[in-house]
Amino acid sequence: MALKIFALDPPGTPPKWWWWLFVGTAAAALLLMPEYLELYVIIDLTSYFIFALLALSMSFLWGYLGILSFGQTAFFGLGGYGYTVLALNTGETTGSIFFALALPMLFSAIVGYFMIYGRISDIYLSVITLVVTLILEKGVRATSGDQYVIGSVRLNGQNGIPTVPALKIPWNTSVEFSFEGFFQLAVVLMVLVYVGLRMLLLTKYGRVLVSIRENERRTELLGYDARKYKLSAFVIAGGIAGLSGAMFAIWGPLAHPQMFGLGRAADVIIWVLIGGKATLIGPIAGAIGIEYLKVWLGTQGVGQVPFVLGLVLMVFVLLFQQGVLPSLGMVISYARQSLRRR
Amino acid sequence: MADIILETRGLEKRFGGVRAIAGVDFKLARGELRCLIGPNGAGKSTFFKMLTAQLRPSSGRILFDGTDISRAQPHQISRLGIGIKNQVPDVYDGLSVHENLWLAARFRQDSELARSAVKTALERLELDRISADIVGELAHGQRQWVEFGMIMVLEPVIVLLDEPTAGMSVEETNRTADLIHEINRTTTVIVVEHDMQFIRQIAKQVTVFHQGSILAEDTMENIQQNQTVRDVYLGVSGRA
Repeated sequence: MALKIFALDPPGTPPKWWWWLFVGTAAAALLLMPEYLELYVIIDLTSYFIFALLALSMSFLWGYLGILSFGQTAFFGLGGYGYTVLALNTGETTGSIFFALALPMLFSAIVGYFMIYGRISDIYLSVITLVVTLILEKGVRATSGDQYVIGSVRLNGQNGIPTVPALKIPWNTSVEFSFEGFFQLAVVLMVLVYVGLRMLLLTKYGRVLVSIRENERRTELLGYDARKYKLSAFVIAGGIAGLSGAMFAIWGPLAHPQMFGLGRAADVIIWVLIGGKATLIGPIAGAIGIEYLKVWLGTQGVGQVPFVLGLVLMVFVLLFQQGVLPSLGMVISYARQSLRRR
Repeated sequence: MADIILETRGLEKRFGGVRAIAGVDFKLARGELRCLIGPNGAGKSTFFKMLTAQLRPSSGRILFDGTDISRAQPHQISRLGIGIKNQVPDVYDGLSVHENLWLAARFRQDSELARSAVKTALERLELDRISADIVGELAHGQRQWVEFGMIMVLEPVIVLLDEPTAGMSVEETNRTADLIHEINRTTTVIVVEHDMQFIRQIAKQVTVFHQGSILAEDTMENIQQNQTVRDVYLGVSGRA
């Protein structure tokens, strides 16, 4: 019973019509928001949607392939710095976005190759990715001196790079994205990545990924080279995290070592755990909800934000082990069944 | 024997100082149904794991259809046409019966063929009525058959089964015996077993392992008469 919740659609089942209706309506509503909401709300929301991308990259790996990459922030940070450094050097922003995709993908291919083809266990993979992101953080923090220059850009160590160029409209490079336009871009990217991953999981490739989560050895005994599947998924997730990082740096505008930090790495886990890692929509809700909660707690002057977040996480892990949305889904399907019986 | 499909030469596996398999030369002809038996610790499971690339031999060679597979990766074994069923049901417990078979079928076939192969297998195994059920919630015997189905849709050249009837009821065991005979019509089969009742039901040719070596190799009738085999293994259960 517990396995048959709606959020765990059997792999390979195409979404129903109401799913398309829901995605379409939600996307349209979000795109129209700048018409109705205050600018500061739009700016806040933009960052939540950018974080939702990062959450998606983790839930794709953790929820569907079954590997917990604790350090998705490594690729997030690389995306942010990659965009910033290249855009500052060249003035070209659209190309830099693609670079912010390619660099983390290359890096995740290298790191992933040694972890996955070396057949280290999933727990070590979590530890190693976490260490990698912390090393990158330390490394970037140590670049305060003026000898640390890439092209004409100083890396600035602890202080980060505050001069991240705003994104220009690809077909009209003299115009920068407005706050509203950037908000809409974040919405579009979030929806595209969400729908794209959902579609990817319908394919043979996606179904084999889920089978690896369920029983990797069996998948290999069937003839699939699980390592190829795992590495490619790791690289896809790295790209999504990188895109998220570039968007976050532009949003700041700030590329900062904290993007690699333990705090951010833990945030991602909390979003995904609370939202429900076996779904794609759950982590989006988790990222938006938790980040909103953090900001709200900040404005209320509670002060102990990490403490409150820790409590929230504990409550969720103990009471709703599947995460918010799957638990909600369970309640709904239970209610529907008991109504039908009457 | 002319058409040898599987052969080992001087196959050896050491765990520390223990020689679990001590230089085994083994030959299997195409189309055979061979049972490997032996008391606990005789090395038959170790031998099985090496044949299926789940363990690396310490020395010696395994030849499948002339190809050396002693250093092969698990996924390569299946690609060569070797279907494996381990002792514990090795299935996707969180996925449906249909998805389990589909994943197996889809590896070799395009999606159209895979769909029809899954359908045929579901009917043959009488699993079609529960095809949407989650495998982890099925009875033990049914889970075993799901795994049989996964092997069948792979259309292997040879099937290796490690204690396929472990934990099955008498009725389930009988059905499994029929199933193995059916698979054997088109496929070479190796069965590792220690349920003597079951071996009598299916066996034609039997290989007896003892202390990491082959003790005897003969038909089931002759094996049952063999005094050495009786002493090490059948001593009690063989006379019963």
